[in-house]
Amino acid sequence: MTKPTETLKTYWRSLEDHDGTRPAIVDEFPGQADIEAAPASLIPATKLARRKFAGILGASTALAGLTSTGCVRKPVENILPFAKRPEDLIPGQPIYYATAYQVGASVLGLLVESQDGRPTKVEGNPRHPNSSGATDMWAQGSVLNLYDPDRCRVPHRLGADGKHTVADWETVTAELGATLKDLRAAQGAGVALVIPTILSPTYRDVLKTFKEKFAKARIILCDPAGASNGIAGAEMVGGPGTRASYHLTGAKVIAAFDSDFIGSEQDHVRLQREYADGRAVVSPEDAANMSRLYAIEPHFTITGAQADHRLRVRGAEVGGLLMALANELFGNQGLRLPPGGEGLLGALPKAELSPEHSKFIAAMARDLNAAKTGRRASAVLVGERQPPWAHALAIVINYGLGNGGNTVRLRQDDQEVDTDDLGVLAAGLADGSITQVICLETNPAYEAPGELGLAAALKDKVLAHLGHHVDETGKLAAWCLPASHYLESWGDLEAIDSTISIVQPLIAPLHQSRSALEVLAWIATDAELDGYSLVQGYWRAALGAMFSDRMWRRWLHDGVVQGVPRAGGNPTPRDMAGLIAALAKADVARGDNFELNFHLDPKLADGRFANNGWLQEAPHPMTKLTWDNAAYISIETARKLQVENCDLLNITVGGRSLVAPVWIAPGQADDTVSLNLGYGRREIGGVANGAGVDAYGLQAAENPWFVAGAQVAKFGGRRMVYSTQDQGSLDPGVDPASPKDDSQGTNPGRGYPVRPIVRETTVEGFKADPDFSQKGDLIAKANLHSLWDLNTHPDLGPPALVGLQQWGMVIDLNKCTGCTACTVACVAENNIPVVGRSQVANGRELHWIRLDRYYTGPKEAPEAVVQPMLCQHCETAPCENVCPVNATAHSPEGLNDMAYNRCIGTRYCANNCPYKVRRFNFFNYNKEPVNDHELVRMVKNPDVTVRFRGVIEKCSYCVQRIQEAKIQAHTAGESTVKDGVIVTACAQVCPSRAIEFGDVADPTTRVSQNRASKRNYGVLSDLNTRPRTTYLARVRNPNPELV
Amino acid sequence: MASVVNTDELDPLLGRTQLVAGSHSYHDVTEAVAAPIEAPNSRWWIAFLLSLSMLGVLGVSLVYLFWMGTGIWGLNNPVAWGWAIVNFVFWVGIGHAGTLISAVLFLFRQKWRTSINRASEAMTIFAVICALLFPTVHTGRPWFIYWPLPIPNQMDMWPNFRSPLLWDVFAVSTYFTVSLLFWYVGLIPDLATMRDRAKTPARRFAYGLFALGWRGSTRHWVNYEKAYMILAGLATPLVLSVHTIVSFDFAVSQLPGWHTTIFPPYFVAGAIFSGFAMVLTLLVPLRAWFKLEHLITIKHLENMAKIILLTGTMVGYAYAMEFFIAWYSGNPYESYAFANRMFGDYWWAYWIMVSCNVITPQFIWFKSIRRSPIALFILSIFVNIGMWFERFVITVTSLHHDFLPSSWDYYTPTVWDISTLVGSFGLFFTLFCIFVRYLPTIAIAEVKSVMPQADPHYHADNHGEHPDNGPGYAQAKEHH
Repeated sequence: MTKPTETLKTYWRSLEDHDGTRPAIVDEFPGQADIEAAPASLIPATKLARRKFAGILGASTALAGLTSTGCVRKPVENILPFAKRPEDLIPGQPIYYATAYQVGASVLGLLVESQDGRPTKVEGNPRHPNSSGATDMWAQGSVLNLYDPDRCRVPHRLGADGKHTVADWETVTAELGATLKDLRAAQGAGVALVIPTILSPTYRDVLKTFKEKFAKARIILCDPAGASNGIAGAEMVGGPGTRASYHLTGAKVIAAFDSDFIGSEQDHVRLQREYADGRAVVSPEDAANMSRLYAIEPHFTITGAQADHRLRVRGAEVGGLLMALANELFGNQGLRLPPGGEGLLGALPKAELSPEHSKFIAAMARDLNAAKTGRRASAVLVGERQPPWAHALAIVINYGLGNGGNTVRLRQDDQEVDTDDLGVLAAGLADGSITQVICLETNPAYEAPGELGLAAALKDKVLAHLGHHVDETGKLAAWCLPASHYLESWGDLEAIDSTISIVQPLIAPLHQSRSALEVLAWIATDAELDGYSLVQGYWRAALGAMFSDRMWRRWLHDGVVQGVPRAGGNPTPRDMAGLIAALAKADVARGDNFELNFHLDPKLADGRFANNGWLQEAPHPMTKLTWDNAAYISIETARKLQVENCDLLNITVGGRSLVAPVWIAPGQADDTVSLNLGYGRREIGGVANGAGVDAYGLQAAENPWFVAGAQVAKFGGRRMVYSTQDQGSLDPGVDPASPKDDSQGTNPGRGYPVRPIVRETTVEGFKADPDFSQKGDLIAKANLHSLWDLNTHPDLGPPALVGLQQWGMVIDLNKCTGCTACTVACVAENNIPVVGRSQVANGRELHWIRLDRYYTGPKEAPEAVVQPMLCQHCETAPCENVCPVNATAHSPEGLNDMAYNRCIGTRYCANNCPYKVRRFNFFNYNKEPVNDHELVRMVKNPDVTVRFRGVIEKCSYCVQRIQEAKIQAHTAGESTVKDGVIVTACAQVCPSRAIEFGDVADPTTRVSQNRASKRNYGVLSDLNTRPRTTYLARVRNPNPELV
Repeated sequence: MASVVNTDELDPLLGRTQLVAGSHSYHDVTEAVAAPIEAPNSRWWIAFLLSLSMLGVLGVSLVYLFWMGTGIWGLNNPVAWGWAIVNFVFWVGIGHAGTLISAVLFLFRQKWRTSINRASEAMTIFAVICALLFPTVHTGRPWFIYWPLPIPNQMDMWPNFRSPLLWDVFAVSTYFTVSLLFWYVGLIPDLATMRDRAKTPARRFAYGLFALGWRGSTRHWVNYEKAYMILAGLATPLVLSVHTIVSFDFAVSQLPGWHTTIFPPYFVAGAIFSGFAMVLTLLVPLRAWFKLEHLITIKHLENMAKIILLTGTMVGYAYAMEFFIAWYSGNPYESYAFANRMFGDYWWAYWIMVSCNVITPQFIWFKSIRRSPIALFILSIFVNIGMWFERFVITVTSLHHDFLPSSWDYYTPTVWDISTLVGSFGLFFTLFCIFVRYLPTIAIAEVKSVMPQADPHYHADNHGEHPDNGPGYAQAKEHH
């Protein structure tokens, strides 16, 4: 019998053991190699299989003689202490390591929490300018990818029978090494190396070596989350190597052209923070200083939801509107073109605009111009989905507006290795010039636009694939190799502003994986070097005598590399020839029939998070869909197609077709269909399987992001997709997502007012009525009497709030964008299990914080508001009175505590909660396969109880963090915790800093200052619940010209 | 008995409708009630086996429930209470009529209660057993169901006395205890009769044990009647309190549609309404199958129908008043909750409720209907359905759309919700079948006391021996 510690050893191997040579690992998981293993069903067995049913019948007999406690299953679980405590390790004390991580072209500096050697929680590195302490949904979810049980764990080789068999690295190095040796000898003729966006200096250096050794090989870029359009646009006007980045600090007028800069564009975390800082409002007087956001987009994104003015147009029309803006600014309004741009005005096509659009553009142009006149910054942002010339034109406009070097910065990146696009790969495969494809952390069989037909063309051509899953490309690969997670590998990353971070691992590889850097170095040189020596070796060589171990340690500690000169160059948009040529060819015609738009999924990105339960289950920020994507169409289009939600649509373009369920997305441009990428994965893992449909197949080669001329028709039949929010309006009678005309027919809400749950006004409204946020209560505060006031009995009266500190939270609705990072952060921090699609379908999602999204205004062109909803920690909480067993009670510090052990699960508290934030464990979710895997269990936070079935759970204000801070304060001899020490998981992750948490009893704290704001109000406070969580009402900043 | 549709026999002494139709002797009554118990017919076996199989459904449902968790039901986030609570309130409501008939009508000297009180009290006890089942099993962790009981423990943990659920625990268990005692005390003389008639030692022992040595002496009767009176006095307030407190589960919360002051009287009226309907549902077949038409006469059925008409109309008034107050309050949440009942997602449930509970009882105004056992049986089924839907409407429609539109959702029951309800009927009918098989379904001693023979002025020559109208009637009238 093996000792439990022996199996644990592989996980707990400490970093100190990592001495540069990789220990040979025998097959740790025998039986796990079967890549076709049936995916574990996520669906709790509400349907009884025959055998199970018979088993239960038998159990009923067995249980008949027992008491009811016979139903409790308590398996024997052994725990073992350290016999000898390892040095520097205090059990139960988490350690944080700085590292960095990349999705597409965005780099985030991170601090990752390690609990006894297990990475459990990702936070932003406050020293890194791109995260400044915040992160996004993807970073929060990324730690779960480390423990993904469906990861590719061992090398596989493709047999003659077309099936993979398990191999080991010795065989790989011997046999694949021999093949590579031959290829190297042939200077890489016929080889294509497919890589994602590379922002790692070391990787680029290795890539150069590869290029030397494989001179005839093609290097192909495959990264739907990358920034190739943006880069091409910057290079168009700034010359080769030019990179543009946007910065919104100080920007007073922001125009987003199909740019979801809050949601999924490059550097969205930083941009969101800078945007939110510009929306801070304290008093009516400074409201006018707020920035104003215009958005022009086909699909209602969270950026569009933030916009003060929004136009919904087709993706192809966005460029025309940008041209119109340039014409308006430089032509009609006489703005001076930046030096070198003189010829541009004549080259700009004069598009015909509708009166509505021209009014919008003219007003926007005047607003931008006024900002320039007033010496205030502005920004015109163009999304990655738009073609390069639009990016180039935006740079010119921004420079014309004086934003150059301020909100739009150009810099020279001379390190990047030239790559070709996927079209070159497809052509090479077709004409036989490419015969051996090596994919490093790329998945062209899935991610390539369908028109290229790479999934078929790559068959028998993939020599090696390094990936996290045996994915669509991996299945085709002669050698399918396991890739290390970023928390397992050494590396470095350079952000857009040339901030460099060292990627350091927190754990030795769990499986027999290697990092892409290590594998590329091996391919290039045949030398098996480990990541640590590669990265450190690169910097040692790059810095020469300047390098010191002390400096290195400092870099690792800080997470930011300092003292390294980066290649400069200060490009400006000077050469308009390329842009003028591109504009001449630019097609901004509306296009006929339907336009298909493709978007990176806010949850799954390009599909890399498809097997991540946390992210699959997180609701889509706007549509609130979980576990699925859908064909998003507008209400008008739904009427035209005579479809309702979940009806199947047949979408055909260029001979490629897809059947997808409809989801009516208010605010979508008419006659467009938006599809999110990343779904419809083909057998990569238990979580991803069956989630959504694959939209890549519809993409065109030329412009993958939108394509006109699509045929869309009702297919017949339905595929149920599930959203976590059924009613999207605060007017109970209006369903904004229904193609039905609500004014007709029976409607129970007709005539009832909009509920005063989200309160908002405009800048003008705020000036006119500074107390607007107090309007809307059913009973004015002065008339609101509490029966508690009559009951002063010490035991039976209201909860005694006698703690020295009283915890409270304020959420600024002006800053919250609804990005949903908080939901995933809360899941990670509080061990919230994944419940699965069928449970979400029945409204049983367990999220402690949800983002309520309500549409307002006309159904056809709505605005949207978001409101984070979590336990309000009411001082006189309705839930507490009704619990028969006192399982939920008030702490002296004002927390609404939940004693899981005491809860018997009557669910009365959930019924009596007016905010409906209490969640119930209908099943033993933590014992479902998706949560109970030996690997997945390692992500659990040891500070938080894992809940059993049959108990209620809800937001605790991260009570474990409060307690930890109190213990620290107590140890330091202080009676109270200083302001800002306790940060809840949702507040910590929030890129907008919309959430403030702290002591409301102390008037000097930030949370108290926010509570003193004129905008502060409590939701449903007319019920006398006295919520501790309050909201700062939203203030919009519309352009008076457009109102 | 077709000839007596519209005319009842009159009691020769009082001039009121005779409570035992036809001329029967005391012995005839004993025989009529006891004979079916001693020799069950095939109908009983059919009914019993059917009920038992439904009970089996309950068993399977509960085992699966305990194995998997409450997730097997259709509950979801806003609708945290579903059929289990609906069934609980439904069964508690059913459990009202028995004690009302036996205690309240006893105190009001309503002698017609004697032929129906035994069966309806049994119904009460079995209904309360079914009701108690649901709050127990609907909890997430039913193995800790004893925690709401104030049991001293080493942790000094007490239940939360503010919670209406705790009040429920006390209200329903008190009601159950008193009802059971009341029923049992009333059974003692009849158990003694059964003991005396018993032909097997086992029966003699069993009936003898529970008859507590009853010999029918005058002292026994004096004590018995005192005890019965005291228990009736104790049970009467409980009739009102138990459903009042059950209504507090809803009324004390702050949910629009639940938070209503009219709930206590409305729930009590509804409970009596549904209880009497269930008594009709049970007694109409019982009197036919056990040939007890002369003891449970048309007049009895008619009286119960009138109570159904009265309480049904009260319930209808409550429905109307809820709407008026919702509108009059000016509270948009409240107004919406009620508009949503009528026209929202669950409009069908609301209109089933109104049709069954308000419109159906109005047929009772017609004498031919209220004197037709078949019509009353059908009507009672409708009332039962309507009252189940009333609880469904209150519980589910209020929960599924409450304050924040973001949390709105739709609740659909699963097969396990349905099987648990069906199973609870199995439990109820199994218990009832066992009751009619082993215990006198009619209070023999009490019925005898309301027969003409029990009147001291009744002087028939044959003195209770001959069924035909002898000269004794005339004599008695003269004396009177």
